[in-house]
Amino acid sequence: MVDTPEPILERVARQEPGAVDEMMARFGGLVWSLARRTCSDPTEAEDAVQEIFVEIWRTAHRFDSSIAGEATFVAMIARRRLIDRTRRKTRRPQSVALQESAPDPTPPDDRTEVREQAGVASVAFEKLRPEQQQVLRLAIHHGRSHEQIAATTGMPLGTVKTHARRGLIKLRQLLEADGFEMPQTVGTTGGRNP
Amino acid sequence: MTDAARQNEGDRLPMPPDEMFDLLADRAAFGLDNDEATQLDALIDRHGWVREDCLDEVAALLAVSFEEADAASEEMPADVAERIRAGVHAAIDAGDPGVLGRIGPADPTTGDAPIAPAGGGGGVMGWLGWVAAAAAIAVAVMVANPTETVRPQNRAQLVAWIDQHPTAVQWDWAPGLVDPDEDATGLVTFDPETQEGYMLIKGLEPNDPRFQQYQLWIWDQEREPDPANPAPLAENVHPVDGGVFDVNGEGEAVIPIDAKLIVGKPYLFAITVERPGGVAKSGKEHVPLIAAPPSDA
Repeated sequence: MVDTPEPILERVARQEPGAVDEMMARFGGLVWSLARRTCSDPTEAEDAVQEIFVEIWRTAHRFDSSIAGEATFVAMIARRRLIDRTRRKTRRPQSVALQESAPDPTPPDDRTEVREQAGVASVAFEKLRPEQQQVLRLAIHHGRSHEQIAATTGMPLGTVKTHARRGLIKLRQLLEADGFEMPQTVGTTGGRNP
Repeated sequence: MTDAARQNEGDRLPMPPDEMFDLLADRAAFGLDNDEATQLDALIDRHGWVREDCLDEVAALLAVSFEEADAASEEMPADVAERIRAGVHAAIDAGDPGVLGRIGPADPTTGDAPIAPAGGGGGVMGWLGWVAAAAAIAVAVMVANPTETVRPQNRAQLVAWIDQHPTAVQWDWAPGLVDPDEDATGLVTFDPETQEGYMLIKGLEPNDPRFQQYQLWIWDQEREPDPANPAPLAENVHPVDGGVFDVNGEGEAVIPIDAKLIVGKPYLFAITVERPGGVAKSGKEHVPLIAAPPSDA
């Protein structure tokens, strides 16, 4: 059994030497993949990834392992930044270009937590209705807008949104029912994002 | 279903309307446009006990799952990883308080140097961390956009920046309406064309970021229900969040504006004192500074 690594974000928040490099090594692949799916070209993705890591570094002190896993926290910040960039620039997501450089030789270590979270989510996702799966996959994995999904699938715009909404809410319910650690949606300590 | 009908018998908190979860889901899956974001902000204000990122987390978890399962996921090229690593460190190392939105003495120790958490374990980021973080953002922008003008860090550079941005508004700070700060001076400038802006502030009372932060608000004429007759104090008028910042000690600093929404035609700026992290809608209990066009403009 592989030991779960110490939460790197807590070390980043404490400004421990080397923690930032470790964070980028641990989550660089994930953030890069997310960025490449929504950014129009590698240069833009590079800018976005740098911006995302600076934002993660800035907000690492807000990470709470009782609320979300580190990979989820990282992906949440990354997605917010990427969606914001896309909307501000009103660029459409484009297909991934051929890779021109050698991949980062950094070994994909410390991925235990990522795999665990991914596995739990994957099982729950399979329980959604096929059309909900389709819409959420296109939106979240491929970065498609609801207009693009409607055009691609032939679904009415409102139906696309409905599938996404119900799918996400159902997914949350399934994860909570499966005992996956998720904070209460409604509670006395809720409120705004940082 | 009305709010009253959705009353939670246990704690008497009215359940939020479906519309709120629709918007939260839309934001998590697709993002929101300005109108939707404003609408959601208003709902979050009314139903502040709802964790607004509850569906963002689900979407993020799903994104992680998809990436993990996708064998075709692209690995980050080594040269890109190195450049990003260098860029992030450059951002972190550039701990110049003049850039950061924090006024006060600079501590040369930045970057990965250990610091004592200001608010206990996992709590509020300390002074040094905030300084370095804010600088990081500033430098990151510069690194990411090498062709853009350099972010001004002092009065002279800000004047030069204003000269290069003829479409920018520029107004002096004046004492606010509630708890006015009579001693603070400076100006605010914002260019709707580039969506960039800065505050030059001198002498504003220091804050303790563990308990409160300053927050900038921007009233945008194009967001007014009646753009020809802007009414900043009207209930249905919502200023744009311009970001939070801190002040420590005496000094003068240039603070970048971080507008959360597109601002088309600003006509009033105000600084309020809010809880750490800022708020979606200010109660305007403390408004030390405002800036508006001169009355004869």
